[in-house]
Amino acid sequence: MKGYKDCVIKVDLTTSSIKKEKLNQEYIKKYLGGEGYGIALLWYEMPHTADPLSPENILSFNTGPMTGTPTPSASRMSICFMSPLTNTIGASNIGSHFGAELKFAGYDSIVFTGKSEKPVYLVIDNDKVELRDASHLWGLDTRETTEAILDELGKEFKVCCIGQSGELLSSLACIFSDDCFAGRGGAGAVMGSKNLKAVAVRGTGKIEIADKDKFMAAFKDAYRQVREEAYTWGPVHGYGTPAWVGGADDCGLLPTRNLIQNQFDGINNVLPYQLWNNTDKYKITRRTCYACQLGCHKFVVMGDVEVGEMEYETLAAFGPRCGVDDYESICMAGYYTTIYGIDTISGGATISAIMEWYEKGIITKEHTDGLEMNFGNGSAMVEMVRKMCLREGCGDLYADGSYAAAKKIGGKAMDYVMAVKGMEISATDPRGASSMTIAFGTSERGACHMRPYAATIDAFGYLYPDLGITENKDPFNDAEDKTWLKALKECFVVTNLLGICDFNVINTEMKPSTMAELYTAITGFEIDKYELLRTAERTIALERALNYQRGFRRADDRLPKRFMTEPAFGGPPKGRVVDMETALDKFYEACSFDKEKAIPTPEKYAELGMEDVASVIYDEVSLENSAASLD
Amino acid sequence: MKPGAIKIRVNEEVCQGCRTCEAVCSLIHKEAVSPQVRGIQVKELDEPGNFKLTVCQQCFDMPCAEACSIGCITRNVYSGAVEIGEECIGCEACIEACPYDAIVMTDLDGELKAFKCDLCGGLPECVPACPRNALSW
Repeated sequence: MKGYKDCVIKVDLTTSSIKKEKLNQEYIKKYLGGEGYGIALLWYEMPHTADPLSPENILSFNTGPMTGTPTPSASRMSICFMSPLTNTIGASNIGSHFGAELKFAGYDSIVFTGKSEKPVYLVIDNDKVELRDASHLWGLDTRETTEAILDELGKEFKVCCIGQSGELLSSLACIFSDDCFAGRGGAGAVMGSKNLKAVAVRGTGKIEIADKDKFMAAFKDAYRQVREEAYTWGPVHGYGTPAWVGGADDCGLLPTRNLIQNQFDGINNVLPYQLWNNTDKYKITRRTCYACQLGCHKFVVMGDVEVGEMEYETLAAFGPRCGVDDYESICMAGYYTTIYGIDTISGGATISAIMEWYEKGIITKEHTDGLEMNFGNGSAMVEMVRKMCLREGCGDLYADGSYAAAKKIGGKAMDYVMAVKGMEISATDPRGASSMTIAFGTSERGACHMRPYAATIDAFGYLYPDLGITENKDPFNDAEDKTWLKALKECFVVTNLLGICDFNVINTEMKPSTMAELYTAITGFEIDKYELLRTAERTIALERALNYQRGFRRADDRLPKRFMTEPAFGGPPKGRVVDMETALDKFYEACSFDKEKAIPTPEKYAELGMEDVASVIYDEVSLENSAASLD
Repeated sequence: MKPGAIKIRVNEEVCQGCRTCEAVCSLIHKEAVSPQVRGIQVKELDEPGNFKLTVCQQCFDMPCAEACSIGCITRNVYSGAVEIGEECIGCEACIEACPYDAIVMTDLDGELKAFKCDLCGGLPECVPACPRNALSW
């Protein structure tokens, strides 16, 4: 099938053996590629209860069939692993030019198993693949590592690497590539646990397209769809994702002071124009991922400090969430997370939890090395981020996120942890949108902002006719039918399978039917949008099954108590609390999930052609019953 | 060397380095996407977010054609573009002669050949594909 390169690099780091294999066509048929391929590897080729930081964990870099083609923002690569942060599946998505370069070199995926004795890095130069000693790179930050590798190999190489946080096995550590991040879930720690410092790739081959004319026609359609969406092509194209901050505040969706509030009193100081237009202090340039038209990545330079990308999530996490309203502190915190390599969302959320613990007297100056961790104290925040990244002093306590820290601190600390399955909630207050209550709760990798970002539909009032969403949804009604949310979630997951960016669908821009046309034109394999969404449904069902095997049930899909007991502070959702159980029931019904086990029913698995998976997780009796009911 | 008037014009100030133009170029010419085949080249300079765009100037006096060892570089009478013929033997003489470094070598079809912008026969496809309107002609 064209579009795929039909070659996977398998690296066993324990024995330093490198093998090239063909793609497993069974996985491709059912799960399409990208994230689906990585999750299939975890399910079929790894013991289901493997410890995330053990050599058994499989770390895979998976491109999709669209990665590397000119399809809008077809730069994405899914990095799959078992997450040390949540103990669930980990699937983290990264842009930059790495994924496309990997396809040009002739590979769909790189799969790492085992653990190297000493630090190594992998070099892929078209056909030539080798492991090299990385002792001279160990201890360097992300930018220094990239520079050292480029000096060694040549400027044309693209590099994925970890910083000090990954080496120190921080559960928040991410993988860095050219100022993009596979941020959430601790992919960097998994890489560090395998003593793998970096991967460098150069490719000069080709990706064949089955039907050029059909592709160009669908490509132009897709392009037009994205450009016709006023908000995407306006503020987001201009300011990048920070453009969201004003709208989020207006709709009462902006997490403020560890989600005590949902609107920020200092909002005017963190509106994006304060950064962009302050040209004396900040210099901002555009530099995008491969084939991206949106260009949400903006490179910020503040004086001598090359801060890196400023994103909505970074801004919201270190800004309103910590009560900080000066861009200088936010930029410095962002800079440390970039060079040491941790997830900005969980990083900022952990700082905000520390601030609440400090203000509530659960921790004292003893726990903060004398830093006054009050909400709004920007300089203390920056210093704490640095300590956290390097596990320096008290930073060691917080380096694995707020959930792990609360377990160590004990007492009432856990009440102020805003996390689901151990992963901190990202920058949307779930009280402001019923759909986000469910999205955060039922995300397979912990409270994730991209599974799906559904506030667009119910809080912001967008429609998505091609996906069957033809009328406005009520953001404050947990008892509403949530079939649309299931479809939207699948639509977001499809982008991960194909290797394109979520931002193609975040404001309901690209039609799923156009995605199907593009896939058909690239691969020559006929598919329609329903089958495309079905592959995503299978991927989600497989992720659920793997989580189930690791002990995750309905109780783990619940949000922290704060959202059920403390009414929203302001904005449209003022006074609202979340009805978690109703919301979950509605969503489970829409997805045909077993309401207690929180996985698809045996009938659903059978319908998806996943009987083999069902037979592992359901005992024989219930399977027989379901077979009888199908008859 | 005297640059021509009908050619791809670039505005480097607004380029964001997404390389969509490169990808579309190879797809249009070779039915495959490859960084080897690019009539237009995007290169990031040392300062992040600053890009250099290199593309054929369709010179009036055609120094590449003059240098070509077998005389296969000619002007297309319809589009006005300077084109490399099928018979190219890959001697690289044109690459040395080009004052803009706008010609690249490719062995995508098995044989080593030179490749450059031919304005897609008259209607350049990279121009409408650029999301920043950095290209015009």
